[in-house]
Amino acid sequence: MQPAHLEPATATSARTTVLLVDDEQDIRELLTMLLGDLGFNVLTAADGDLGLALFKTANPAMVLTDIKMPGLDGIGLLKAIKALSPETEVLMISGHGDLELAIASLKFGAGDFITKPIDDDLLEHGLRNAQERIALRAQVREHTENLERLVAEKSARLVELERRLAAKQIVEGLSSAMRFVKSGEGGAGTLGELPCFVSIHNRERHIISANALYRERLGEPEGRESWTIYGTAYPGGQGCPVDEALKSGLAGSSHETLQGADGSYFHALVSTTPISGDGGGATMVLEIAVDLTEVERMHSELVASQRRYRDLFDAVPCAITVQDRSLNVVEANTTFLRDFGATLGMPCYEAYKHRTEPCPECPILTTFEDGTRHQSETVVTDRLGESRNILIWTAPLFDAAGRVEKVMEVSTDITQIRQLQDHLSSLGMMLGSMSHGVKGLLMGLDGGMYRVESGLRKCDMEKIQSGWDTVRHRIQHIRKMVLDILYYAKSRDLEFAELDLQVFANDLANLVEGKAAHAGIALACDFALAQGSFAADYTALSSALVNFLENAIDACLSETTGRPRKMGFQVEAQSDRAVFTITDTGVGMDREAREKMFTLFFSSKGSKGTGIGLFISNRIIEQHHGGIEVESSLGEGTRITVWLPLAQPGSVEGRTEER
Amino acid sequence: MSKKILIVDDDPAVVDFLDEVLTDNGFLTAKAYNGAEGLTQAKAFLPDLITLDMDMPEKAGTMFYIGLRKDEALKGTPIIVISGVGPRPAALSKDIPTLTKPVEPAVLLDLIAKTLV
Repeated sequence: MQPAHLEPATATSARTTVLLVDDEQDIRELLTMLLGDLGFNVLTAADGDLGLALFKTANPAMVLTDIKMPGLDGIGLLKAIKALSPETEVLMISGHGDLELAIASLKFGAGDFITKPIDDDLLEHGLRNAQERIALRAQVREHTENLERLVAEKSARLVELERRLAAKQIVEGLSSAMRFVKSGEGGAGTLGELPCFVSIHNRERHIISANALYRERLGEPEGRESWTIYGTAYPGGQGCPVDEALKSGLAGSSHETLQGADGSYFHALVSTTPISGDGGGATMVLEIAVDLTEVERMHSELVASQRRYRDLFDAVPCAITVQDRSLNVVEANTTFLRDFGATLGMPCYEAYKHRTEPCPECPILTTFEDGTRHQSETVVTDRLGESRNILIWTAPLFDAAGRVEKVMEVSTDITQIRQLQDHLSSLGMMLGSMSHGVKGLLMGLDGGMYRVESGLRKCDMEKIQSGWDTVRHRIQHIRKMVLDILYYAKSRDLEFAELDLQVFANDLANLVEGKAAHAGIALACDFALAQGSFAADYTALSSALVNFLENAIDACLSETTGRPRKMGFQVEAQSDRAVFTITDTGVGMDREAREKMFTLFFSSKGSKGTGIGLFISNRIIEQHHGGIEVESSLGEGTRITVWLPLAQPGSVEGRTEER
Repeated sequence: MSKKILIVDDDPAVVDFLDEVLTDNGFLTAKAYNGAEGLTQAKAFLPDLITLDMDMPEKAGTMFYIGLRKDEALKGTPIIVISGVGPRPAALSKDIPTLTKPVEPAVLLDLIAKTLV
């Protein structure tokens, strides 16, 4: 064990603190009691958002959260906590019917899940395991830190030794050079070892000594005039570097072209330093010339490889951006600029999502905060208005001081993968979300059958009739459900038939009137211009439109500011199309919700929506060669306009094209 | 004297079905379609047994159960849970019998008989 004073005070108390998040008061009471008995400190929160807020201030080591909650649900809370603090142990409480979610939560880093009804022993077991994992991680971290410290100490010592050695060499080199200069002796000596052309010149601008490299490349130095290594640049020596140094008495440096002994020219950086004699005034000049050809070659190589990186950067099939703390795109590859029609300097959320403020749980902001990589998946809108599923990786870019200066984001388009998965998973999702409804249906069916049988026994026609009504109603419901399933399981061919627009509109209104009235919503229907007939698949189209109508009802129900709840349903035949307009005074949607609304599994209804309805509605309208327009603003309402051609392309009797 | 049973379920068809089965078998019944209505009915009707659907919207089943436990006169009333999904719902103690929909009338009647002993 570590001595207590090494641990921050908060960590010690957090070790035994469990944050309990559940929307049910009685469960919270029960678990607080249980956890208290097991020796934990308990903090409670009544929903995911409150839980997350409490997590940020209290930073508990363990979180126990219900999965199904209004607002931010357990999975959302899990993801948020793991994004903030990957080492926090999050245990899920799984109610009836969300076991699959509980299993899925393990994928998002949940430590374990505990099923309701809560079994004391299993709860304790799960908590103890989590505690053990926390302790192990702390140990591993301690070891790693020790190791890192050891390495850091060792390498610091090494660097220090190197530095001393280098300092010593420089001092030695300089002092021997000074000795050499003072004594005015010639010879290769120390200068001979330097990797540049070193020469000493006298007041008469003659070379009195030079190093070996000078001799080798520029020719015999002794007695030669200072300016002769510059070809014909300084005839008579006026203005040559040595001349300048002698005149000004100051050190200087300039770029010069030198001519070698073999007649070739090369570029060099020439530095001159006047050396004062005992009586003041420059008596000699030290000239050092560095061959820049090599440096230039390396520089051009660098430019070339930078260009290759740039080409790669632009050619990868991902959108890559570099963003600053305000999420402005400061650098981007051509894939990003081309696909999203964005310009540099634009905020990321505007380019990708047409939002006016950062997205919640932005992985880039998280990377800015913690300096580590993050990953997330989202739906964005490209330049052509198409939705794309993208997988995002972020990586921090550090400045010299080791702070996160910018964050790089790599977005990979996984729309096609998602589309493939959609088809497979939609059936499973659908069945899962329906199982409750199906059981209720079966029970109702049993009730109807019981009544028919009991009526038959008693020869009670009225009872038989009422029983049969129940049975028929339930069977119709099951029929619709089965058709829906078939729709996902296999692409059912549409059966187009000529339908009377007015009759169709009335049927739709009848389907939702009850629900609207029950919800206290005034439904205004206007079918005055719904004249003539049109071609459609009755079942498919009506279920698609009912989805919109029911969504309008839900949107009104979610509206809690007390504005009057109104819905309009207008149907009319225009020259070549049937137009259905559905308006509501509900909560409305922001642009992001509008753009995502037809994506599979996107739902603005929280746990109430499956995210399937509008996806399929959209598909059905597309199959009818029609279109959907959505206008909506938050807090004002939504207007959905669905149009389809009065006649379907191809033969009216029948086939829809292959999808 | 006939035993009194309160039926709480948000699906009218289920309520009608249970009502019919129970009336046919000599019970006196009262019907409620949500948790709040259930509590009002329970206070007025003082049933000998309650059949409760836990899957009603807005957690009405759980709220009904909690409300019932808080009422001294009603807290001892036996409950049979008739639920759509899963085993015993959360927040209920382990000794509450639970039936999963669809329910066979014979099984329900048998369970009622045992509970009312």
